[in-house]
Amino acid sequence: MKRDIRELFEKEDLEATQSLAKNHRKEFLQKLESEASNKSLKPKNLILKIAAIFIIALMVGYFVINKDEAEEISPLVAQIEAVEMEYLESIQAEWINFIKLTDDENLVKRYEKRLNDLDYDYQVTSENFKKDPNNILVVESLITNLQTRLQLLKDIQKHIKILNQKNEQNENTI
Amino acid sequence: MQNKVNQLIKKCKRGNQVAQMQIYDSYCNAMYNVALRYLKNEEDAKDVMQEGFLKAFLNIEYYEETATFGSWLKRIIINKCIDMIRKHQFDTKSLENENLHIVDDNDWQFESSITKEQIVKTIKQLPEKYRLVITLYLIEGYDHEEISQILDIAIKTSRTQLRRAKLQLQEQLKTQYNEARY
Repeated sequence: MKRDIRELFEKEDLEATQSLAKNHRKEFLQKLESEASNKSLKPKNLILKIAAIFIIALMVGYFVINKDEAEEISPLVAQIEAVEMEYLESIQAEWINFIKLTDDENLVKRYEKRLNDLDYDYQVTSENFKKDPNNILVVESLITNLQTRLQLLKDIQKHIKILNQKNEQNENTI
Repeated sequence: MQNKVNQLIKKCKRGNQVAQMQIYDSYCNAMYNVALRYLKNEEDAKDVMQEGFLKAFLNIEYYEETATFGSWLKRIIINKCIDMIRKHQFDTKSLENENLHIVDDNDWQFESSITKEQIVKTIKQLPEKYRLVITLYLIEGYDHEEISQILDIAIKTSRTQLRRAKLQLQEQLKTQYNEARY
């Protein structure tokens, strides 16, 4: 006699369940709270971002109006370059911190690839920016790209730190 | 039940921590057991489950009532599990490197004396690549499109690997079955 075993799994069974460790609820509450306190930092970032975009928008507006006068190297391009430099420096610094923090080669490789991909996107967008320096969307995507890279590195470091703390805790309890 | 859940979710969307804990209490055991299907280590399974909840709360504004909350949550937890497995060096991309023949078969007829418990137990012992695909298909009930998204592989890879997984499951159960008989 044969039967289709897929039918056996049609209903999710709740019988063979394993129960959680006792303190899981407390632990989760702590995680939830630390997440909540992190979240309150985010609006600051958002405000900064909005401010940055606003300033750039103003400048773009200004230079669009005064286009005829500013033909040589537009100060906007210079401004963007300065922002770019600053970001790239921070990204580089965070990258070094990140490498120091972990010895997981695969992780480093994965992040290297992600950053390289983002960098490639950036170069492409950058070309577009050169062709069309007054397009606010292009400028925005340049900045978002840099922010993404920075945030990526910050997030993974935070994650590693949490993991390390956990390991230490485990070692202490042993 | 679903109505009550929806109300809780509304509160969660506003960041209400009491509601978040209530959601956690209602689903944590089921989700923990989902995680255990993928991760053998109980500590890992618990952590992944909890991280999944945090991620869900963080993204709860994207939850739409078209799917049940449980299945939405389960998908997040499973993705987290796969991430964790990848972190431990198992690269699902390696699934793609093998020769692929597109064979689709729908024959899941097994001896009816084989119990569900035996099947679950044997699946857990399959090599990682087969274990993941067959768990997603048979136990979770995902289709190939969903599996290909979760594992980040091509649909045809998912089909071929599932077929091989099934053959291996069949083979191993047959051996066990014969051993038990004699």
